[in-house]
Amino acid sequence: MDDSTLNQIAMVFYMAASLVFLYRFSDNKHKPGKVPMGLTWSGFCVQTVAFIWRWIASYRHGFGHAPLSNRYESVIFFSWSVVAMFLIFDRFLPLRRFGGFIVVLGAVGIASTSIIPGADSTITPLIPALQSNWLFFHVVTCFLGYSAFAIAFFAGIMSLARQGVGANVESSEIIRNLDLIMYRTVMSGFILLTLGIISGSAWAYNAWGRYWGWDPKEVWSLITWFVYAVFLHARVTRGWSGKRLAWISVVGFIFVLFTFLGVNYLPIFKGLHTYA
Amino acid sequence: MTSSRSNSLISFLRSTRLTILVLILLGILSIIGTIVIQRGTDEEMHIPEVYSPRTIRIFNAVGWFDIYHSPLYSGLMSLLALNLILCIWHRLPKDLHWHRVALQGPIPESMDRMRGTRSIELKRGSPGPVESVHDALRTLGYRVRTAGEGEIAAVRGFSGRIGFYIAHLGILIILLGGVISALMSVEGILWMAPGDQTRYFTSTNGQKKELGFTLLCENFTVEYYDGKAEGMPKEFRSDLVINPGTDLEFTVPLRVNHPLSFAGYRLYQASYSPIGARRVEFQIQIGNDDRRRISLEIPGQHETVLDSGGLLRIETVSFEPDFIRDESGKAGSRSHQLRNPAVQIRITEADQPPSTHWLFLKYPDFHGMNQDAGHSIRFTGLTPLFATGIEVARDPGASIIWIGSSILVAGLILTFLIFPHRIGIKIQPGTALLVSGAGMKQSGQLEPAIEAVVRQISAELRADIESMRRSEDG
Repeated sequence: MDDSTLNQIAMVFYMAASLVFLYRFSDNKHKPGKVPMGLTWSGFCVQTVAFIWRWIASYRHGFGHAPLSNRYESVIFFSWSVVAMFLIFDRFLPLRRFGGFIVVLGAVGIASTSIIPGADSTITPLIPALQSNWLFFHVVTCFLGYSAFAIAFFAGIMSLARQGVGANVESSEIIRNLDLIMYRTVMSGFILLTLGIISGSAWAYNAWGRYWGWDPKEVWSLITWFVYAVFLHARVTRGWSGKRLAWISVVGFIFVLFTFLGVNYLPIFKGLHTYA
Repeated sequence: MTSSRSNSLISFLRSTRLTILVLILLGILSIIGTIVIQRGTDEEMHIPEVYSPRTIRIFNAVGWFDIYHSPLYSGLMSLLALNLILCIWHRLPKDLHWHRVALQGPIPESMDRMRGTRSIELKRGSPGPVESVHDALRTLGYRVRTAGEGEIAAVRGFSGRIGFYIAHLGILIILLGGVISALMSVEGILWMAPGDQTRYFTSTNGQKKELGFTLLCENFTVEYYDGKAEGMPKEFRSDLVINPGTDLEFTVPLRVNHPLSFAGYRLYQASYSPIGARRVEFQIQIGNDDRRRISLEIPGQHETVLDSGGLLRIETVSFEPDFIRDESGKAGSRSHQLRNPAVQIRITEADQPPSTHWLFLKYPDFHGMNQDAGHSIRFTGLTPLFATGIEVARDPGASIIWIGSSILVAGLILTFLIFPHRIGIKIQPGTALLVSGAGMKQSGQLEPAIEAVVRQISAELRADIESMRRSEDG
C-alpha cells in the first residue's frame, strides 16, 4: 500500500461525508449531526497518515523532504488543508450546515490529481533552491490561507444565493452568520497569507539575496493580499455587509485560484513556482 | 473657505475610501506588470518581436516596461503611506481618549447608544447587586469601575485596539525598508571559473565595486541525483578561499540556500553556467576495425597511439565553446555557452611535421584532416567546465523589512484574537439590571460577549441568594 491508495480512501470518506452533509442541507428540518463530521474526521485522519507516509517514503528514496514540492503533492495538500481549516473553524463558527460544499472540495482535490496535467504521484527529489527549511513553513501557511479563503468563498456564494443577485439586502440571522463566517475566515486567511508572503521573501533572501523580485507569483500573491485588505477595510471601517461583502469574498477567491494555479499559464511566467 | 477645502482634502487623504482606491489601482498596475514583458527579465529581448514600435513608444512613456519602478507605482505606494500616516494621526487621540474615558471618566456614552441590551431580573430581596456585578465582570477579565448612581462601566481588550496601530505601523516600516533597499542596496553577480581570483565585482548598474577582501574560487562542483531522477542537479557548490595567501585565509563552501556573510556583504550560490570543457573524448579509428576511445584534459594533455604507419601522438591545444572564425580567419567564441564546442588538436605522426586541426562536437564528420592517413579522429564528448555564479549583495533594507513584517503579523494577530469592547450596566433598584455593550459591530463578537457577561452575573446573583438563604436557614 502506498500513500496514493490512502488518499483514495480519504477521498471516499470525504465523498460520503459531503453526500450526508448535502442531503441534510437540502432538507431544512435536519441538522448536519454527527455522522458527516465523523466521516470527515475519518477521511482527514487517513489523509494525514498518507502525508506522513509519503514523507517517510521520500527518505527511503534518499530524497528526504516534506511532500509539498510538486504539483501532485501541492494539490493533495490543498485538499488536506481545506478540510483541516473546516474542522478548525467548525469549532468557532456556525458553518457546519454547508460543510458539504467545503468537504467535497477535499474530495475533488484528490480526484483531480488523476486529470491535472503534470500531477504525477511519483516522489521526486528537490532541486537545490528548494532544499530549505523554509519550504515547510512557506507552503503550509500559504495553503492554510488559501483554504480559509475557500471557506469564505463558499460563505459568499451561500450569501449571494440566499439574497438573489438582484434583490435587496436581507438582514436575516443567516446572512449575519454568513457575514461573520466570511469576516473571521478572511481575517485568518489574511494573517496566514501574510505569513506565507513573508516566509517566501525570507526564503528568497536566503537563496538569492533579495527578498522581493517581482516574479509573477510574488506579484499575484500581493494582488490577492490587496484584495483581501480591501475586504477587511470595507467590512471593518466602512461597515459593508451582505451582498457587497459576499461579492468581494467570491472575487477574492478567483484571485487566490489564479495565484495558486493560474500564474503558471501566464505567457511570460517562468520561475521556481511552476509546480505549485 | 480655503480651510474648509483643505480640511475636506485632508479628510479624503486619510479616508479608507482612498486606501481602497489606491489598493485597487496598485492591483491593476501589478496585473499589467505580469502581462507586459518587463525589462530586467529574461524575456526582455523579445520586446521588439512582441510589440509594435508604436506600442513600445507608448509603453516606454508610461513606464509599463518597468511598471514596478515607474513613477506611478511609486507614487501610489507613497500615497498609501501618506494615507496610513494621516489615518493613524487622526485616530490615535480618539482611541487614547476612548481608553482614558472608559476607565476614569463618566460613562462615555449614554446607555441608549450602546447595543444588544439584555435585562436580568432581580429577585426580590437579593443583596446589593453592585458587588456581584463587579465580581462577575472581574472574573471575566474586565476592568471595572462604578460610574455614577447605579451605573457600572467595564472595558476589555484594549490591546486589540492597539493591534490596528501595530499592524499599520508594520506596513509603514516595510515600505520604509523597501525605500532603503531601493536607495542603498548593492548587488551584482560574480562569474568565476575554478582558479579565478578577484577583489571586485560589477554591480547590476554597471559600477565596479570593491569587495574589501580577496575571493578565490578554488573549485566548483555539481552533484547529480542518480536512479529515477538521474541528471537532475542535487547540489552545486563553490569552494571559496577568502583572503588567500594571508594570515586571514580561510576556506568555506558556498551552497544554495546557505549564504555566507563576510565584511558587510552576503554571498549566495546563485547559479552556474558551462563555459568550456574540462575533458574531451575522441574516438580514433585506425584501419577498418581498430577503434579506440581516448579522453584528454584541456589544454595540453597528449596521448600516443600506435597507427599502422607508426606512432601517432594526439595533443589538445585549445577549446572554444561556441566556435566562430572572424574575418581574418582567426578562431574564437561567440559566447561562453556550449553552443558549438570545438577543440583544436595537434597530431604528430612518426615521420611527418605536426599538424593542427579543429574538431567539432556537433559535426563529428567535418574535419580538415588528410583522409588518406589511414586513421580518423572524431570528437565525441566532453565533460563541461562550469563557472559559478555568485550573487554578491548588501541590503540594509532587509533587516528593516523583517522588523516591519514581525510587527505587522503581531498587530494582525492582536486585532484578530482580541475584541476590544465596553460593557455598561444600569441598575434599576429592586427590579432589573440592564446590560449593554459597545464595540466594533462588524466582528459579530459583541453579542456573545454580552451573553457571557449576563450568564456570569446571573450565576453570581444566584450564588448570593443561595448563600443568603443558607445563612438565613442556619
